[in-house]
Amino acid sequence: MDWIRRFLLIALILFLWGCATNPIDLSKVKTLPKEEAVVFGRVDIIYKNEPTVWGKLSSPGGFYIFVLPGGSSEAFSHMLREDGTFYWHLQPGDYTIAELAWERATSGFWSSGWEKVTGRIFANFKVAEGGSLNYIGTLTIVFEDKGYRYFLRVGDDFDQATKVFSSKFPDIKGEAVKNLMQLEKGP
Amino acid sequence: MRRLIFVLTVGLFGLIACSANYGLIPISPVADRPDYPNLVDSLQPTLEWNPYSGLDVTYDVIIYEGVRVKKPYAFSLEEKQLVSGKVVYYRQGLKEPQHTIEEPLKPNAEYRWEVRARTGDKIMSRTMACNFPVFKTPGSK
Repeated sequence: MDWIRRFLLIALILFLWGCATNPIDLSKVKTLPKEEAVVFGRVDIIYKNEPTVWGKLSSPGGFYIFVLPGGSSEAFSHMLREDGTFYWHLQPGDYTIAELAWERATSGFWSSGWEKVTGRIFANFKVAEGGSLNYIGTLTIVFEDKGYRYFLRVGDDFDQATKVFSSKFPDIKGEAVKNLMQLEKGP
Repeated sequence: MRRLIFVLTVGLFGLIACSANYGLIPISPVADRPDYPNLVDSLQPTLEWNPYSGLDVTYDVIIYEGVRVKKPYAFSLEEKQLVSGKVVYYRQGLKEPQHTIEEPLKPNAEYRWEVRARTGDKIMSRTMACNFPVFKTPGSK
C-alpha cells in the first residue's frame, strides 16, 4: 500500500503548508513594515531535468531554504511554493541563504518512507535602505544522480520578476534595484 | 520573453545523501543527536575521524559556525535545527586522521565540522552533510 502512504504524507504536507508561518513573507503583511525593504527573487529547483513546482500533489515533497541575517546566529526558514518565487520583507543589511533542506518520499525495493536531504548554499545578498525594492536573482539548484548531488548558479530574470512583482503587489511602489546573490567560493 | 543570463556559475557539487554508512565517519567530537552538541573541553579541540582506506590521501578539515533555524519545517515538531553558517576554520593537506585546531574558537559557541579526503584536486570522500558532527565550546574562563 505504498501509494496510500505516499498520498497521506503528501496530503499532510499540503495541509500543514497552509498552517506554516514565515516571519519574512511579504504576502502575510498588509503593508511593508516601517524601515524594512522588499526582497524578491526565485529558487528554481531542477530535478529529473525539469523545473519543480511546489505545493501540488505531484510535488516531490517540501523544499526549504534557510535565510541568515548577517552577524546573527539565528536563521529564518522559507518553504518554497509554486515555482519558487519569494517575496520577503527584511531590515536593510547583509544576508545569506545558508542551506537547503528537502523532505521527500522515497521508495525502494525493500522499503519506502521519508528522507531529508540537506546541503550548503551560502548565497550572500545585500538589502538596501528601508522602503527599497531589492531583486536578488534566480538561484537555480540542479539536482543530479537521483537527487543526491547538486550544483548552483545565479541567474538574472530582472525584467520578468519586476513585472510579476508589480502585478502581485500593486500598492508597493518604487524602482527595483538589482542586488544579485553572490555564491560563496567555498574551500 | 524570458531572458535568462547566468551571471555566475559555480561548479559546486554537494553530496547530500543522508546516511551514516557513507562518506568519512567522524569519531570525535560527535553528538548523539545532531541538534544537541556536546561540550568539548577546550577552545582548540582535537577532531578525529576514521581514515580513508585504499588510497594515499590527505584530509581537509572545515569548521562552520553553528546557526540555529527556528521552526525549520512546517510539518515537524523540531523547534530549532542547527545548520552550517560561515566557514571559520579550514586546513588542507593533513596527513593523519586527526587534527587539533590551531586557533582558539569562540567560547560558548556551537560549531559543525566536516572532513574530506582528497588526492590532488579530487575529493575522494567526505562527511555527509546531514551527518556533520557538532560540538559546543566551553565558556570563557
